[in-house]
Amino acid sequence: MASITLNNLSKHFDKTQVLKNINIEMLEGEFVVLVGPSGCGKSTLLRSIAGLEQISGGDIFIGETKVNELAPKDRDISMVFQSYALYPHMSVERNMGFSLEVQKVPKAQIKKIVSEVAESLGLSQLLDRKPKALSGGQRQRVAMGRAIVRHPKAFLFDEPLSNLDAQLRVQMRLEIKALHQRLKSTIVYVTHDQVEAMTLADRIVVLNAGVIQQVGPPLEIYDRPANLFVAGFMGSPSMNFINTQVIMDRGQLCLQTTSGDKLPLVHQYQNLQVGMHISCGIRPEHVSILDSGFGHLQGRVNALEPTGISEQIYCDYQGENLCIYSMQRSGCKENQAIALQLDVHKLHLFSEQTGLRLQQLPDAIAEYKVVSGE
Amino acid sequence: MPDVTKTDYIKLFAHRFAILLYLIFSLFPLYWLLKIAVTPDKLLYSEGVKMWPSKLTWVNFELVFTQSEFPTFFINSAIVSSATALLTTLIAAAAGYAFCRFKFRGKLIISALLLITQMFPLVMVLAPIYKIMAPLGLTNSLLGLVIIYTAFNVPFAVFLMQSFFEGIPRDLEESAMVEGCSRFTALRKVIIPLTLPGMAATLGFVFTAAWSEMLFALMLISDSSVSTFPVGLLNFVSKFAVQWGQMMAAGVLALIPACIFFVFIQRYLVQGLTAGAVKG
Repeated sequence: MASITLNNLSKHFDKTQVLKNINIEMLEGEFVVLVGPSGCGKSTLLRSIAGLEQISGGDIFIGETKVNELAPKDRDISMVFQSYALYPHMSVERNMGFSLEVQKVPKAQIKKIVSEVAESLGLSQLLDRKPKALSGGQRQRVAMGRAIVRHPKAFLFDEPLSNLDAQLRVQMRLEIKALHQRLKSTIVYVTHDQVEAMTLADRIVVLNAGVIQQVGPPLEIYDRPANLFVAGFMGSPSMNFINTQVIMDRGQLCLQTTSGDKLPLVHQYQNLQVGMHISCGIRPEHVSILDSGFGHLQGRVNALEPTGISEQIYCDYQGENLCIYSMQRSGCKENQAIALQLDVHKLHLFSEQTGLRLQQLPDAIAEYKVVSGE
Repeated sequence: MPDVTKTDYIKLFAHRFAILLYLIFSLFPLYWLLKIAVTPDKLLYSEGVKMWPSKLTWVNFELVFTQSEFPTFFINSAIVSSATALLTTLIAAAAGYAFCRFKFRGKLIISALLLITQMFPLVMVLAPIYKIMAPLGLTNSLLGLVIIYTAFNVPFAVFLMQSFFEGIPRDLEESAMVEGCSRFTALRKVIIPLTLPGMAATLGFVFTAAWSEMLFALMLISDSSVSTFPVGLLNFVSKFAVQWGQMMAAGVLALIPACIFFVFIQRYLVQGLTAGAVKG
């Protein structure tokens, strides 16, 4: 096992810059998930680490070794591809032992190692089969087995679960997590699925347009997104944003929406000034529907999405679609006018100008009890 | 739903009937070849057009083997065709792989040039080719034929092989490269085994093309000891008569290697050509 360090990594295809000044230090044994929308450069970043893409600038270190100029075969890493990339003309056994076969490891030893790994992944019965005779989940497992067999310095996963159906995906997610706990290996994992990112990662790297937006543990990213992009991208259903301006109302700082509703600010924020335009973010689970009274905002229901365990209510507020996530069944109807209560302790403030988060200051008035609405 | 079943039967019948018609159409000349080969010369003109002669004879085959130079032609053809097929497939596989996987300067121009070579009628280049080959001592030699056939078959074979390589996901060789292979080892261990059907298809295609080629052979070869079999067939046409029986018998014999070859590779061929068609 080894750490992976990226220093000022950049990459461009012809004139298009796909990665800009990427700096990450992935610790030994750490599970790092690269997440971002399609085309954000996350796969390119992974392929650069593998050596399948030439980098245009910066350095890549695996352990202490600078690997910029090393061929993929000399980097001693394993990669699991989205398509699994199993060799169709080889049996499962040969597929799994292929890297050892190339290294000219004695046959008996290959057989022993492969059967051990196959045993641990529940593949022992399938060793003689060809990949085409396997189900999606089994192929996925063979691809993982093939990666494990050679004890690499690090594992790279390129959207390994995106070809599986939903149920199998959940199961394989757990298996990958268990695998990491068992092997204590360094894993770099690319996905566009934020549930995978949240559940698997020790640390998440959020990428957009080739630039790192935020690096941190999953819950930190969820609770304190660094900018509007991360706030909108992480979390499903995603965060609601309301355009507001900071005003002083009867001696208290408030956010005033364009239609004149006021949200009291119960925390202190860095660099907050009266008159500033703020994009106010609130997660759907921090909005609730009031049975009576006016609440902070008044909206009109657009659509309902009951999932059984919960309900998502989409409503219109000043032309924006606000999502409410409720564990209770609201009994709302479409087009019904509803009063919304926001958990003002959970507001995320982003400067409309820069898109950056206004950091909350350690609090003197955190215990201030807010009287709802007016 | 009896109606549906009925139309299904009609469709099936029409389909099979169409295939049958096509088979009769395409196999009839071969049948005629065989029929004349086994008809005694006397009966050839006296019996008129009959589907099967009243008497059979193997004498034409005997004559072809014993009295003619056919065995030499046969061996020459076999040498030329196999050598051409092998050489072309090797070159085309290498070039096809390069076209498919690498970016290099002049790629577009080279493929355009390859395409252009296919556009000239052969008759146009006959004289220049003779002019080039004669001083090099490559007329009247099997090597000369192999070179010419290879040159003329390579462009098409390159495109064919390229489409086969394109049918193989890049992930496979990238995976092999991450797993410790150099590009060449990845090619040898992963890509080539998967392209074998494509190579078999190319091999078969080029072999048949070379086997039946006549124009260049006729022009470049004058010595009968290095004649290939299509040219040799003309020996049966003399000034005063055409020895139909022997000519056809030779023709029947010439079909045999092509048939054997195809029986041998047809398993790959079907797989290969369809794979190329779908993915290429």
